[in-house]
Amino acid sequence: MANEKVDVVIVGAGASGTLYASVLAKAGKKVVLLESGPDWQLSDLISSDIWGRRVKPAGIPFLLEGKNPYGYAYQAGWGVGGAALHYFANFPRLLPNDFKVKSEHNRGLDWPIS
Amino acid sequence: MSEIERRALMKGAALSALAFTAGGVNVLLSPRQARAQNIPFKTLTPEQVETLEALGETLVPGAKQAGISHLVDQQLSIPPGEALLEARILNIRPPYANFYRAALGAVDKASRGQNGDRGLAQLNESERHAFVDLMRQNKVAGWQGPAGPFVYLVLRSDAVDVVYGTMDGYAGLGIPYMPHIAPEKRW
Repeated sequence: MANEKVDVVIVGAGASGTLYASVLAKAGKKVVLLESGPDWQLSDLISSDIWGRRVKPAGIPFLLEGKNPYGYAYQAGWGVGGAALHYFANFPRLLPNDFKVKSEHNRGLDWPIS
Repeated sequence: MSEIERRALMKGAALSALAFTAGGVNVLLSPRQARAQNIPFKTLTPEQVETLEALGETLVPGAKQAGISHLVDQQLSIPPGEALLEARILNIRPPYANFYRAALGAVDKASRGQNGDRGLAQLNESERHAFVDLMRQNKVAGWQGPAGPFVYLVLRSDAVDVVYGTMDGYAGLGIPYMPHIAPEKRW
């Protein structure tokens, strides 16, 4: 396997990586999907604030640099499924000031369409 | 036990069933039970336990009796990938014991430096609160270690977990504990 030539190497078996791997494989490409975390099974996943932390990263920390480093670990997952492991299908409605974050907090952008 | 039953048990158990070692045998206990049974610590030193219990009790009353030291010690003694600590979400580099040693050492050293060689556990309640108030604002003179506000955040999370992350904790808050209903069959 180590010396086998492949067409595509994808790093991270999250929602995007697994989808791309699937599409490419179906198109006849030879794909390797790299993932550092566990290969979770459905029976491993538990709906619990505390026990759900097992799907959070437990390896090398994210490198947070730049003017406004962002605490990404809150949104990250660990293992096959990636951040989609803690997808709650919960979409709170945006508030009016969510569209004015640049104006009010000098972060990101205001909503560009009026 | 079927997978569905196991999942239902895990969900209902909250922090009530962690694996501790007693007399060479693994037993499932809550941190509160482990403390009551005086389960030996595997990773934390007696001095670290003393500091952790004093800090935990200051941050969230009830944390000492609820077994914050046994929770943290048990969690530091298992592989990082199995840990349930908030440290995982806060981007702390495993092994997490390094952070806790540094944090508790910083608290102890700073407390002794400011209070006539008295560690946090030797301070009265008012003095502890004053120290923690400065720590959370990063205003403790001579502080050496992980940033005080970050130590405050991590340890407060642990204290909240051990006091309120249980069915008893929910009952204490007057909130019904409503774990998700287990599916009747596998998806």
